[in-house]
Amino acid sequence: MALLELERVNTFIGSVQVLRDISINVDKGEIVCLVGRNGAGKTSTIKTIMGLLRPKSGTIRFKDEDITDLPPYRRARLGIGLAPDYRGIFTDLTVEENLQFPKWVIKRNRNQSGSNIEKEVHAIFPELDRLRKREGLVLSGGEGKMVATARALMLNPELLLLDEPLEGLAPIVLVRFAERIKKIREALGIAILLAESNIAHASRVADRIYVVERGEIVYGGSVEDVSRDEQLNRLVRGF
Amino acid sequence: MSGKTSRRDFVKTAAAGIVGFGVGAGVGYGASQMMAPPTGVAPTVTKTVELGKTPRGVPKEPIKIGIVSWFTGPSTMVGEACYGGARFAADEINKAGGILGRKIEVLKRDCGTPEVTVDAVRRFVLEDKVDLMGGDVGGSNCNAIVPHIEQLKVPFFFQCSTTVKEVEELDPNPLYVFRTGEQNLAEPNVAAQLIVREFPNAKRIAGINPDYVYGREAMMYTMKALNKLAPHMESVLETWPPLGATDFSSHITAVLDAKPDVVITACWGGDFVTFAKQATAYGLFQKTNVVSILGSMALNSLTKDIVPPGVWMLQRDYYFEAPPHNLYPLNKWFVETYRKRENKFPEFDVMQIFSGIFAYKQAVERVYAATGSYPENEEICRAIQNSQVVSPAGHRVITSDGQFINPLPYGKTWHDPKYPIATIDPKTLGFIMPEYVYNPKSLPPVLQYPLGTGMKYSDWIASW
Amino acid sequence: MDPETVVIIILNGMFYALSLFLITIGLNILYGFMKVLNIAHGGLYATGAFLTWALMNTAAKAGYPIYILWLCIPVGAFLVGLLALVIEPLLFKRLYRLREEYSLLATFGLMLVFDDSLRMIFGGSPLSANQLYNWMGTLTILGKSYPTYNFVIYAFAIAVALGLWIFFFKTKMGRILRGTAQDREMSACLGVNVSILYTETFFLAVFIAGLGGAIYLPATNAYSGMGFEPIVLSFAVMIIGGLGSLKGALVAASMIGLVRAFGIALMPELELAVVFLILIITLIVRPRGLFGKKFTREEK
Ligand SMILES: Nc1ncnc2c1ncn2[C@@H]1O[C@H](COP(=O)(O)OP(=O)(O)OP(=O)(O)O)[C@@H](O)[C@H]1O
Ligand SMILES: [Mg+2]
Repeated sequence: MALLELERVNTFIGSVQVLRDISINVDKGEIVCLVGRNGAGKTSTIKTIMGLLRPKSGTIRFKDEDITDLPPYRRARLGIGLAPDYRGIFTDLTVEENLQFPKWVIKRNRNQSGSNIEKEVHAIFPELDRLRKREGLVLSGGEGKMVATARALMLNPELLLLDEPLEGLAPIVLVRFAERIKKIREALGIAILLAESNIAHASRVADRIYVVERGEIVYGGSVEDVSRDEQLNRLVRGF
Repeated sequence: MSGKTSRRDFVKTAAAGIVGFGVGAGVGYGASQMMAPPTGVAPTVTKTVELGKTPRGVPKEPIKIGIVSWFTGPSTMVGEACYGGARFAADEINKAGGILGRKIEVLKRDCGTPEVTVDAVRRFVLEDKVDLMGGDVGGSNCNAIVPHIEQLKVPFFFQCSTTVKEVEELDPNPLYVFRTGEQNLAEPNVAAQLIVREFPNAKRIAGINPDYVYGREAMMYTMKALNKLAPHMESVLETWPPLGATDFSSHITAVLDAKPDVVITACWGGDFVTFAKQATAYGLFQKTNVVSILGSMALNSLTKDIVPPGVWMLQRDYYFEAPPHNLYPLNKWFVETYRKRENKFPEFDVMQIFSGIFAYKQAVERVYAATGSYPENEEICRAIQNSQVVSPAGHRVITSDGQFINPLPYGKTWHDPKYPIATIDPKTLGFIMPEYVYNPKSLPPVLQYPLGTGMKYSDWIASW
Repeated sequence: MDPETVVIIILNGMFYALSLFLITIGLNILYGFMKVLNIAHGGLYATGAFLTWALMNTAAKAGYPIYILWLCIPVGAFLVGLLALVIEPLLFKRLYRLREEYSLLATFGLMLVFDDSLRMIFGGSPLSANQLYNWMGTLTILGKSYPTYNFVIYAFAIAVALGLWIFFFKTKMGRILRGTAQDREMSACLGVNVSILYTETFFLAVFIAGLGGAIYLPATNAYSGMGFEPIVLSFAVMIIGGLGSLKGALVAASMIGLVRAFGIALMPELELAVVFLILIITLIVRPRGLFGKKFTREEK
């Protein structure tokens, strides 16, 4: 049974249709990547899953529950964590406060066995310790991605959404960060859905990919298959 | 009778009026006293009715009175007093059968900027078809609406203290405009007379006055008059809190620091209440003498914990205990009835519109009795000019230019166990005679401010 | 001017300053977190004064002891806060997403509604509740009389400032609020029910305005239209201090209060001009205000 399931989802922004009949699923413990060119609809898909965009039709199921009409905060509390493409770090708050943020919120609402998540997250991202007192404003791009990802994990989610986690990272950092993503799954056993425009990056982490083009899923399967299909390859690369 | 009147005419008319209305002692006090049948003056009005004209019958419709005043904002209490006084008069007259059988209805509209106020006046006449209007519309709106009143030919009973600047530019011969309240130029004179009378040895004068034309003029002309009447007095500090201020502490401290013998304040309404409360806490009333020019407008809010004994307060043209109730039962009746109606002591605004409406009633009946024809507005207004009306404030004389005058009461506060508010100690109750303050043409030239000549008010004071 | 007078003038300046401060922080909270400019805040301040007057007057007439009268102040403010729970969902929720012009217009309308309603209920005469003010009596400071109650106001305002600082910088909810102010979508994605959080915040801002009206009532009075002057000045304070800045509100209000108090003593002609002079100079020299920051938000 899939952890997350989108069925024929159509999403509009204003009068522009950005997602057409999107049907995807993510299983427990799986790392799935949405691949597509700029403007293909990756972010829109992730936002629709998070509830930031409401589909006009179609259903979204999470843990067998229809969450199509739930607001984002309810989805977060159900176990979907998001690190958005723009990172979304609260610049007024320190790194420590950014990380504690989900705990403060959730503590007021549900009591989850989130006590050791903090330790796990710090084990995955040991650099966080050094950044604790830093203000959100003065983080580098890579540090920001790390904090955003760690913060989403602090929600203790069962599905982690990462929008372009590897974009703009220096080659060495990129490799390290990709390893971290895999480590997240190893340590926490959660599913991860990420979006990437670079298929080579995607291939470093994903078990499975979906290729998105003009708001449609044009392919779903293993990374190797895409690499072999010249037409798909060109589509994803854009040349 | 023309708009212009000689002094002789005035005296004659006034005398006739007194003959006509100074009656009724001992029997059934109340508004009935003010409804005494008009006699004696009728012949003077017949001239305005052309011979041979078919007499006009009494209209069937009720008489509508439109009150234009402040019904929103910090001055709401003013509008409420005008409106309350008008309804009081209307109810009393209606109870006694109306004016020649016509019942009275009272409407109200908000004034505001000159444009808004003009609009209210025009709508009252053109849409509501009112027969007369009244109310305090604020001192700076008068000149804007006077031409409209004259053009619309519907009498208006001003209750506001027209600013000096406006008085200087006033239409000297209005027909439809009446002033049932004191003018701005009168008040500083009263204050100056009071100070000279009560504090002849004072030297240092300070002021805490609202920062707009009224407050500015109050201070300026009081000082001008004092310079004339008591040249040894000088202004040592003048402070200007904004209208609607909630904090007077800085002004009070600054004034105390200037060590004045007398402090003049023209703060009114809520401003005076706040001022007085804070002045008490800062010891202003203990350390110096305070003369309040317009604090009495907030009469009903001046509880004893706010106003201590010993504050000199001008009362404009009416104080609810003057004339004294035992000597003048009409006032006793007026105060008691108003308190029953509104649970308030009547402010001067209540008396002003009340006497204005009765002057109107009297004029209508008088002309009708003399001519057998229901009068037009023009005839009514001419009959009001140079007449007088019995009012709770005593007899009020109405000059040829439409000013209602009567002695102006003032006094020093005390705490009378009879009342929940600080009142005037009867032992200190004094009156400034209108002759010392006003400028009716009936007075000797030296006391007349020559309306319509363009003479500056300050030059007039200088000519005393 | 003797030194004793200088002390009194400083105290007077703060008396005035803190009334502006109590209104401005509410405005700043609403603008800082929800981006609404709330003109009706003056009306809520006035409502605080009127409701507290009604409570105090009733309590005093019934002969309740003095501590009950003290209690009227927070209770009156709380009642105003309850009002927030009605107007926030009905009106303000719709304004959060709109441009500031809309909130200015809509809340100006609301201000008029407040003003008219208060007049309808309480009439046009100024209402005073002097029991506490008189009960506290007068203090002699360096040989000059000074109302003791003013110190209640100072203590109270300092407590509010401190309390808010702790709230925003030390408590969970305060920090959640600051995060949400910056990025409400992100905040929602981390589990925050922004709608309820905004209602709570609105309650807080309104409660403080109500407290301002309530605490100043014994030293002044409640009168029709009383909300208009402070709201104008508070907007000036808000701009001088920097939109949304708590510290800015305190510093700017104190600055205005003190300059005005000395201005009245030294150049009484310039009283109101002083406030707007400071405003103009600020706008020229430092358009975002003393402590206003350029709105920082990561690229999005
Ligand atoms: N606010 C908006 N209004 C209208 N159209 C939008 C809006 N935001 C995105 N779009 C359009 O929706 C489509 C999908 O955008 P989306 O952001 O999902 O793409 P993406 O695959 O995430 O691209 P990128 O790699 O650049 O992040 C694009 O064509 C974009 O132009
Ligand atoms: Mg994207």
